[in-house]
Amino acid sequence: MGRTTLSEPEKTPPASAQPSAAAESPSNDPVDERDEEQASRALLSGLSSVSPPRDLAQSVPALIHRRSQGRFFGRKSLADRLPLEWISLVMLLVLAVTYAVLKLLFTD
Amino acid sequence: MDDRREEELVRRLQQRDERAFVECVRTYQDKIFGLLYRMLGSREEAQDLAQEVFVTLFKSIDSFRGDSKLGTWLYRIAVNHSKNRIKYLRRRAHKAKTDLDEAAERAMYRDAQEGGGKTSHSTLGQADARPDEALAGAQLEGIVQRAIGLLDEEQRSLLLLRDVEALSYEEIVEITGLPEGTVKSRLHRARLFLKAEISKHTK
Repeated sequence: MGRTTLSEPEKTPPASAQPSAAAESPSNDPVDERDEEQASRALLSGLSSVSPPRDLAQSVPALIHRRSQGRFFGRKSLADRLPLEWISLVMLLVLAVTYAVLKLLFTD
Repeated sequence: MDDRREEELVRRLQQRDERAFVECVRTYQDKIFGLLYRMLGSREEAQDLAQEVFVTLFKSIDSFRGDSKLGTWLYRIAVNHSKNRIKYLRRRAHKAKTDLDEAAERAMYRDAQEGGGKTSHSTLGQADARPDEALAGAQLEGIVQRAIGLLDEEQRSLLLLRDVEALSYEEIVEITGLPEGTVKSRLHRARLFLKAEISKHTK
């Protein structure tokens, strides 16, 4: 397939996993720590920036569509989109109005 | 992204607003892809995994409670995915040349061919570099990238999160779940190793 990482699995574990005694712990001096960080950032600042694929913002939702067979972004029913309490209140209101109208119609 | 905009975005994501998904990817794709590329050393792998990272985010968006920033949560997903992918690829024992090796060589060849006066990342920030300086810059970039690849996945992620992405220790603790002291000591070892490895090839 040709996919690779930088790691080479058949070699002995990376040297970074086997620190020397002197490298065991960082200095407690914040100035030393800051200097070390600045030196490391200077080394890494030379790495070129990399751009993501141009169509990533489209390919991700498309992938979700495909895997969910359109269900993930599917239109939800009214009951799923509105809070249940609101629906209950509206139904109670409708019942109350219906009762009031019927009472008016069938009484003198 | 400020807190209010982020809250609004999360709310729209949780309502399955497809435009919110597109906006979320556009907002974070540069950082996430950059991290994955440096972790995996392959553009193809990074592309593949970037999609998976965002799909994971969207599938689990309902469980996001706002205890951390959305970006921090996304970094956590990206770091976990990339560590798993590295372990998986290591098990499969791929030996082909990496994209980074090829890109470094192409960059060296291109810079050497195009000559001086070209502003190039590979000259470590120096504009109008001479051809020999451009070539040296590209070589150094290749050396740095290879050295990063020699770190184990945990040290690699810590180095990239702190020294490339410039995240705070607090954010790194949230992302990795490691205590701050452990983060600092592993970072220290990673930096020493990187420096030694680069010195070996630049003397």
